[in-house]
Amino acid sequence: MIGSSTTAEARRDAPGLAEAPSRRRLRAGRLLGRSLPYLALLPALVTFLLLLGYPVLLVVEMSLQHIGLKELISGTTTWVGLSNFQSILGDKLFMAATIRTFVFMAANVALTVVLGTLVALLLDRIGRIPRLLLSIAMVLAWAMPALTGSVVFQWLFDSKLGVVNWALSSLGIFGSWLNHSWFDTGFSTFGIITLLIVWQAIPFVAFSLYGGILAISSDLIEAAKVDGANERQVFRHVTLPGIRPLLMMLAFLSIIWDFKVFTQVFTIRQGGPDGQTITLSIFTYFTGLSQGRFGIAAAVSVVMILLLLIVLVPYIRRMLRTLEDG
Amino acid sequence: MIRQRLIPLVAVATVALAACNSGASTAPSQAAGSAPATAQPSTAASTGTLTVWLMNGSLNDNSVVQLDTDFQVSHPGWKVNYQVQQWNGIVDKLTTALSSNTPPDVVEMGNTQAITFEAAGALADLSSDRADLGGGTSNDSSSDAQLYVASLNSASVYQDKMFALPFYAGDRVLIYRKDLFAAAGIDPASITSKDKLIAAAKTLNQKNASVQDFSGFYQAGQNWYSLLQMIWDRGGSLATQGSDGKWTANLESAQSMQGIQDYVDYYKAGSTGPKDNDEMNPPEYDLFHQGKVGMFVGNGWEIGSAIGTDGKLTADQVGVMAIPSATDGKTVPVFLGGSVLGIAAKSQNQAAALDWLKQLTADSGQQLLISNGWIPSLKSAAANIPDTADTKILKIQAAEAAAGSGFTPNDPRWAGVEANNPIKSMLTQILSGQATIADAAKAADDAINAALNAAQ
Repeated sequence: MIGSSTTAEARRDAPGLAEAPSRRRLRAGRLLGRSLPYLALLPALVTFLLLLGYPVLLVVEMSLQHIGLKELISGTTTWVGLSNFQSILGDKLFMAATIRTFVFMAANVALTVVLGTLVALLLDRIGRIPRLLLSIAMVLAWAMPALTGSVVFQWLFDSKLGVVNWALSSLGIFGSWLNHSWFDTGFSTFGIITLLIVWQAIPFVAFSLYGGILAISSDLIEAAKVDGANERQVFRHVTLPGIRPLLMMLAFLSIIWDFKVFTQVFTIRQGGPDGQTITLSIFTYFTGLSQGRFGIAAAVSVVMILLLLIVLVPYIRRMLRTLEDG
Repeated sequence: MIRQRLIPLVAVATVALAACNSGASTAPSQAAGSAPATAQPSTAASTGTLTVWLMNGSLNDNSVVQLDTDFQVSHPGWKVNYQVQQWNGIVDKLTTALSSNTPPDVVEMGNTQAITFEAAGALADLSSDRADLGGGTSNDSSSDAQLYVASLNSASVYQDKMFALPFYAGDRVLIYRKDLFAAAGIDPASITSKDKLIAAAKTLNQKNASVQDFSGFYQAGQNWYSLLQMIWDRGGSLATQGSDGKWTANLESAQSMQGIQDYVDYYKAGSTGPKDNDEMNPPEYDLFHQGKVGMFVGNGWEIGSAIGTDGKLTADQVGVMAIPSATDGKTVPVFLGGSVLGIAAKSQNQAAALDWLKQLTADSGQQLLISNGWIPSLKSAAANIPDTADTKILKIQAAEAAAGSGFTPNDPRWAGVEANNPIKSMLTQILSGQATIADAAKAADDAINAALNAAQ
């Protein structure tokens, strides 16, 4: 963007080079033109630094201190170096939560992107009325606040009063599901949380990709078909390359969202049963607010940021490359 | 949410500060509210605004009006800003509010939560005002010179200093359907032991088989409060602290496991409660109100909700009795819930806050608590609850509490255990057959030991 706008500026300026008196004004104009994008970025940067940069700095500071409720109230803190990090790295619960978070994130991102792509392809194929209905259904799922969605899902899967157990039992195909507890194992609880998160995440992915698919010239698809490509080949060689930059970006956003998701996981079972759905963000909450070990919780947050960066850096580089190629 | 609420709070506190200064100028010798002096009403500044956080359901509106009117009489020029807080998430709210520079002046908190804030220095030391606050001359819960209900006193004292005023207590009772008992030919007075309770539950189940999801004796899978009472009943305990300060969880002891077995036996006597959820999900009083429950163990305040206002049930269909023990003729030691009131250490209105607290241990304050259905904070008042139609249930509760009561481990780290309660997980694993009582109890003990002995 920056590069293209300055070259356009330069091209437009070229004829003016012949006139000497306007040269200075021209140079000033060129300087302004070159710095304008940066000036335009400035308000966003300042806001970002104030609202995000400062708290992040504070968290890093806290992660190096011993802060309990007592220190928080009296305002006195002691520097403890890296001992908070040492203690969490030696904590089995933290390690378990980390592994859990990655597996959970991978499953959610994969499901969201794959299902979102399929729904986008479906939107492209079906008629006006079904498309409208599907779009409305998705907008509603998307618009539902995470907290509301979580509470609704909790009741849907309630062992006594839940409509899911009733429906499964009424179908009769799978035997009786009356009083089945969906939340008595970590795996089953995660399954329901995943269902909820993916359900609410699909609309964004599907709508974005549908937009991407619409932007692919129909000539290309027709040409491929004339050359004898079947549906699958058209998707692999025409549609997929066309939406690849978008797919990368959506996967990138999903990774961030699913890595740090809190509301749904916490609302459904507060990390239960038996701590089996404690992800890193829940772990931070328990350590910080419930146990009042704010220094340790800050250390967990710092590790979370680092982990996310490690996952994302190669990804950002690939995404930038794809965007440049596109 | 917290931020939104803090804005008016900040405003209130600013006004209060300003008021304080003006008060100090009229009486320059007294720096208003700077130290928790052994306060006579006169030490408070002459004007100001006091912010008082009360929990939802503690006092009815009339009682608050009465307290406020009394306070206005003794403190003309003072205004009290009452804010009602919800129990759900209160620890997080208190953490935020008490560590801010403009905290509410008086805060109510659950008796199991108080220790966290006492240990952190978030509450003002009330030790020198103990006698004025009606607590007698000793901090020791077992001493006769200590005048508060014992387990409330335990919650108020940390390292031999008094940081909070006991507010009120409440405990659980067996709430039952009189009409269903009569129809099944069961005499409530005959239920004097665990075995008789189970027999009655089964009879009720048979007689009401046509009602879908009926439970003669309803018990949620994760009602750990009820479980604790059964464990104490068998002589077991949750955890004990050694002289070196180290906690040892005792769920895997033979006595505790017997209590857990009692819980399983009750559940298996036909409870349709969810194995993976607690007494509030769904609320047991709701199921009772819908006619799906013959009896359940609930708090006194749940009776109102159980009867409801839509006419489905009437008050004379609902009865209350003490919870029977496994030993015939005895009742279980109850979990004495309740709350305490503290003055924020950073409050600018210490003296006025103290005066506000004193109203509650005066005789009129104690009667006010009784009229709200609570066991009052003073032993003497709790032992002399007047005998009226309204206090019938309260008298049963007070009698239960007098016969024996227990409490969760008094340690600031206990809050961390409850946040991700291993006892609930233990119950679910046992009831769903995933683990034996011994294995699940051991796993829960390990989790409790780790949390209670964590470095602070």
